[in-house]
Amino acid sequence: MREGLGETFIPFPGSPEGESPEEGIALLDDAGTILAANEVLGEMFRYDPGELVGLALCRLIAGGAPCRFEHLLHPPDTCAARSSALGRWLRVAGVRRDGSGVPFDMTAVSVPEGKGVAYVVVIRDCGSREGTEALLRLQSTALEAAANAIVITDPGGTILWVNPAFTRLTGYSPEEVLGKNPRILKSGAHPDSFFAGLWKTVTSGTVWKGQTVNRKKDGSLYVEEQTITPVRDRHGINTHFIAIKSDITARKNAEESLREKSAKLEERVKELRCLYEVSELLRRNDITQETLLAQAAELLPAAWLFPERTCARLVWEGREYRTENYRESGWKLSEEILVHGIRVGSVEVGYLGEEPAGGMEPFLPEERALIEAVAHLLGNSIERRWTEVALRASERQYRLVVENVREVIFQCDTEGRWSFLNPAWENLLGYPVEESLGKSFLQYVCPEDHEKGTEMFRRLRSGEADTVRDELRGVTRFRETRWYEVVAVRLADASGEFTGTLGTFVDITRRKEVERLKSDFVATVSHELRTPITSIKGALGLLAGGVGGVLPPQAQDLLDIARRNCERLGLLIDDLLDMEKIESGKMVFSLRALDLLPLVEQVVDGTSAYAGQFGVTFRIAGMIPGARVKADPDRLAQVLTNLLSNAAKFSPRDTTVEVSLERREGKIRVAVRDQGPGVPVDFRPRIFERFAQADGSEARRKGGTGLGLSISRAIVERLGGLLDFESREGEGTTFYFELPELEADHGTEAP
Amino acid sequence: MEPRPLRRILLAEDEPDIQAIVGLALRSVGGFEVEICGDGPEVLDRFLSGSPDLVVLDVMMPGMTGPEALKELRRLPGGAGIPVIFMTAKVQPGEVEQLKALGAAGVIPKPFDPMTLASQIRALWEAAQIPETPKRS
Repeated sequence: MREGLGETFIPFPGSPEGESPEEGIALLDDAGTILAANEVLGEMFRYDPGELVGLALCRLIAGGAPCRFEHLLHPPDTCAARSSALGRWLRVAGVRRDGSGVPFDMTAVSVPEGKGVAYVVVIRDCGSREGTEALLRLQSTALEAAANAIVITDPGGTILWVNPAFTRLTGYSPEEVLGKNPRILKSGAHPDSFFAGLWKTVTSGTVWKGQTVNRKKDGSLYVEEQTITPVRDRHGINTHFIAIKSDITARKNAEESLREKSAKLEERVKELRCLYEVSELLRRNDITQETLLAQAAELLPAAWLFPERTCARLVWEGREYRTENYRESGWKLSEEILVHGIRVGSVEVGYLGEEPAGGMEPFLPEERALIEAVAHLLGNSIERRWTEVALRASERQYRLVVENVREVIFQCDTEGRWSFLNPAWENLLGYPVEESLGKSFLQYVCPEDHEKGTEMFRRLRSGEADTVRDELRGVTRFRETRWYEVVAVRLADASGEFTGTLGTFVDITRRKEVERLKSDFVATVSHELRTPITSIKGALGLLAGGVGGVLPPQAQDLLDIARRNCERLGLLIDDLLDMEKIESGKMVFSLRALDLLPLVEQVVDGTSAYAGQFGVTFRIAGMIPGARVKADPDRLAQVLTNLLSNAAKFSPRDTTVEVSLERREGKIRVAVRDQGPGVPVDFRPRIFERFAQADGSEARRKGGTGLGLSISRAIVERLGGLLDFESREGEGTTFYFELPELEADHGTEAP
Repeated sequence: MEPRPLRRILLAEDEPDIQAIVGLALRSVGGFEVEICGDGPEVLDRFLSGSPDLVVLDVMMPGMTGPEALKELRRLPGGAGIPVIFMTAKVQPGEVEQLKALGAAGVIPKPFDPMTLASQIRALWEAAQIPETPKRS
C-alpha cells in the first residue's frame, strides 16, 4: 500500500524494485512519528495500519525512547557512524504490540518534505524469517527423524518428499517414489469410492484421518493409519499435502486377536455363568425338585452361542422340563444324567436354525463340555439330595427311637461324665438333661452301690470287659432310691484306646419289688404250706405212735398210707421251693473248702436206712483222701443224697450201689453206680427236666417228685461243676458230678 | 454231774392244731408238763407266773415274732439264762444260723416227727446244761 507516498518511487538500497511483500514501509516525520505505514508493517508488529499512524517509531523498538530514533538516524557518537540506519541496514530489536520481541532489519532514507525532512523507513522482519528458517530447519530435522512415515505431495498429489521412515514402512526408496502418486501403494482392499472420499476431504481443506490397507514394495499387505493435512498459504491456497502414516498392522492384529479372545472369553463367561447359576440353583433347598429342574432348563440356552435360537430340555424320571421355544430338532446335544451310576434322565440342548449339511459337527467342543458339566452337576446334586433325604429320614428314625424309648440311652466320656443322655433320663431321674450333662455318673448312684458302679466303669476303661451288665440303685431328684439294670459297652478308637462308654439302663424297681414280693411270697407260702403239713404229719405220727390209742391193723395200714403221702407232700414242697430258689438265682450257697471223703461217708451213712428199704447197700470205692473242693456242704450233700436215693430206688434187690471218688484233670469226680435197668434211650434227653420221670407208673411207684435231678444239676452247676450220667440199658447207670479240685494250702472245715 | 431233768416246758405257738400236736407229743410221749401260749406277750406273761425249765417258741407268730419274744424274754428276771428252742417252717441254712446266733439252744424244723420231738427237745436241753459242749443242731 503505497497510497500515502503518492506516486513517488524511492529505490531502496539493496532491494529489488517492485513488490516485496515481506517489507514494512513507513513514512516518518522528522520527529520519528509514523505518518503512514503499509499493511506488512502492521502485520509485523500486530497493529492495524490505522493505529500506527501517529505512533512514534520508537514504540516499535525495544526500550524505545524518542531519543532512540535520533540515535538510529544520527548517532551522537561519530565512531558509531555505522550504527546509523541511514543508507544501511541496521539490526534492531523490535517489539510487537503484545510485547513479544521481533528482531528486524531497518534502513532509512531521508526525503525532503516542504521545508523539512521526512524519512522513509523500510523494515524487514528478520526475526520471523529467522524464526521461520530455524523452524524449518527444526521441522526438517524432525521430519527426517520421525518414526512415522511422512509424505509431502504437491497439490496434485505428486510426491515431493518422503522421509526415511517411509522407506522403512513401504520398502520404496525416495528416488523410486518422487514424482509418483501415492496410489502406488494401493492394495485393492478399498473401493474407489474410498479414495474419492479421501480426495474430496483433503482438497476441501479438511484433515483426513483414517486407516488404509496398503501394499508394500515386496507385495505384502499392511495396515496404516494416516493423517493427511493440506498445507495452505496465507491466501488459502493449497500448496502441499503432508501425510503422516504409521504402520498399525501389528496393532490391528493385536486388536483382532484381542477381539477374538474377548469373544471367546465372553463365551467362556457365559458357560461359566450358566454352570454357576445351575449350581446355585441346585444348592437351594427351599424349592422342589420339579421347580429346580424347570429352572435349570431355562438357564441353559443363555450359555450357547446363539441363545435366541437355542432350546433346552431336561428329562427326569420320565418327566420333561422344556424351555418355551423347545421343539424337536436334528441338531442337538444331549448327555445322560447319572445318579449312583444309574441313568435317571438327560439334558438336551437343541439348535433351532437350519439343519447342517450332512456330516458337519454342529457344536463346538466347549459346548459339548458344557452340557457334560451340566449333566454331571445335576446328577451329583440330585444324588446328594437323595442321600440327604435318606440321611434325614434315618436321622429322624434314630431320633424317634432315642427320644421316645423308655430306656435311658447314655454316653459317658473317659472320666465317667455324662456326654449324652436321651429324654428318658429326665423321666426316670427327674433331672433335666442339660443339668446332668458333664456330671459324673456316680453322682446319681446310691452311695451303697458306688463301689459296684466304680468297678463296672473301671473294668470297661481298662479293657477287662467289653460289656458290663449289672443292677445299680440310683437316687432320683426326688430323693427316691430306685433300682436300674445297666448295660454298658466299651467305646474305643481305632487303636483300641478307651474313649468312653455307651449304654442303656432301665428302671427295674417294680421288677425288684415283685421279686421281693415273690421271695416273701415264697417264704410265706412255704410257711403256709408247711403249717398244715406239720399238723397232719404230727397228728398222723401221734396216731401211729399209739398216742391216740391202740389201732386196729387196718387202721394202721391206712395210717401208713396217709403218713407216706404226707411225707411226699413235704418233700415236694421242699423241692418246689428249692427249684424256685435256683431259678430265681436266690439259692444261697455258703461256700467253703470241703474235704469230700468225710462228706461222702456221712451222706452214705445217712441214706443207708433208706436204701435198706430197697434191699440195696452202698459201697465206697476209689477213695482219695485229701480230695477237696470248694462247695456248700449242705447243698452238696443234698445232691449226693439225691443220687444215692435214686440209685437205691432203681436198683434191683440185694445189689450194691458203688460210690467212688476219682481225680480227673484237676477235677474231682464223685460217681454213683447202680446195677439197675439203665436209663431208657428215649428218656435220656429229658432226664434232667423238671418233673420228668422215665415211666409214669413205675416212677410214681418208686416215689420222688421228679425234681431231684434238675435241682441237683442246677446246684452242681452253680458250684462251678457239672453233673451227668452214663448208662447202658440192662447194665446199670452211673451218675456223676465233677467239681474243680481245691489246692492243698487252703484251710478246711469239716462238713 | 447229772444234768437237771427237764420237767416244765412253756410253748408259744399260734396255730391251734399244732398246739394240740406239740402238746400231745410232749406230754404223752415225753411226759413233760406243757403250758401252751398263743402269742409272744402271753408267753412272757406266763413265764413270770409259771417257772418253766425250757421255752419253745414258734418263729412265725403274728404280732411279736419268736425272735422278738426271745429278746424280751431275756430281759425278764430269770429270763437271761433259760434255754429257748425255736420251731420254724423256714429252714434255709442261713436262717438256722441266724436263729441260733440269737441265743437259741436249738432250732426244730417243721414239719417234725411228733414221736421223736420229745427226745429231740430233751437232747437239746441236756446239751444246753453243759456249758462247754458246742451247740449242735
